[in-house]
Amino acid sequence: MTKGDTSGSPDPNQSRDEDIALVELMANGDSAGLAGLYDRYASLLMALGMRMLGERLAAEDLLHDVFLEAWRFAEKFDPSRGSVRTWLTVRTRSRALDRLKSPGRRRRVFNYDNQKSVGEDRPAPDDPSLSPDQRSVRRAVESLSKERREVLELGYFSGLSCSEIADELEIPVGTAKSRMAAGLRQLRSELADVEGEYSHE
Amino acid sequence: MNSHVDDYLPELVMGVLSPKEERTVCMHLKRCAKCTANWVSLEEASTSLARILSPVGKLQEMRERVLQSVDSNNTTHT
Repeated sequence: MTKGDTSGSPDPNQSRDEDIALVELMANGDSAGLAGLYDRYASLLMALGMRMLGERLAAEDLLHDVFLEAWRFAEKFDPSRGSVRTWLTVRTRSRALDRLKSPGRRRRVFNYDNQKSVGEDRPAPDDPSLSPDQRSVRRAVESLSKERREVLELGYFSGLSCSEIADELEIPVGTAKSRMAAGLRQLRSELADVEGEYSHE
Repeated sequence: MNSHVDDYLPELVMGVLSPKEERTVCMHLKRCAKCTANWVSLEEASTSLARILSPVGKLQEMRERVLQSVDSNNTTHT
């Protein structure tokens, strides 16, 4: 089993089909589906929760709730709306943002320049322990300019609006919006090239 | 808002549209396959930001807790 994104197959298309099969098991009341998805994605979702909420205990509660929610709503999963991984990741991020916005909770700002200071030691894109899919994702994100990346990370991990990002980075709101849009589209383009390689095999 | 909502999709994906804008965009998505496909692909791309985070270990205990919650509560599907 590879680290991080633990989807077992190196081919992302095959992995997607396996994920859908696991969701179908869940929809039929078979907890083996839930266990399978947990084994594949708990590490990823936990990492996201910890990044957004800043503490392990809160992230564990979040993880628990997200998987129970996935179990409860398995029948509603629609493959045309994206992959299972995206479905779980979006749910996790949404629930984390709900918690961040709850009264009395001080929003944790993920600052691009602070990454190293919190002890992050992400593997390099060419780390051999990563699957080809993981390496591709890392290369895609690393290819973003610092300006685009910091806007995306403030929006994604802290849920800041473009006007809040603009205040944080002392840039015009329009610039924040355009960097956010350009960054997402660049990621989409880079990742589409990767999936195209697999589909041609 | 233009007939298509491409300009609003990145912020929709990031969840930072105003409530009014979000309602308007979502209503459009219900009837526009092109914009929906665009939205889906951007949302997929956005998850790459999470996927590069360092993996977290020691999740076996959590695994048991999650599975026990399902079994003990007999959580029903909706």
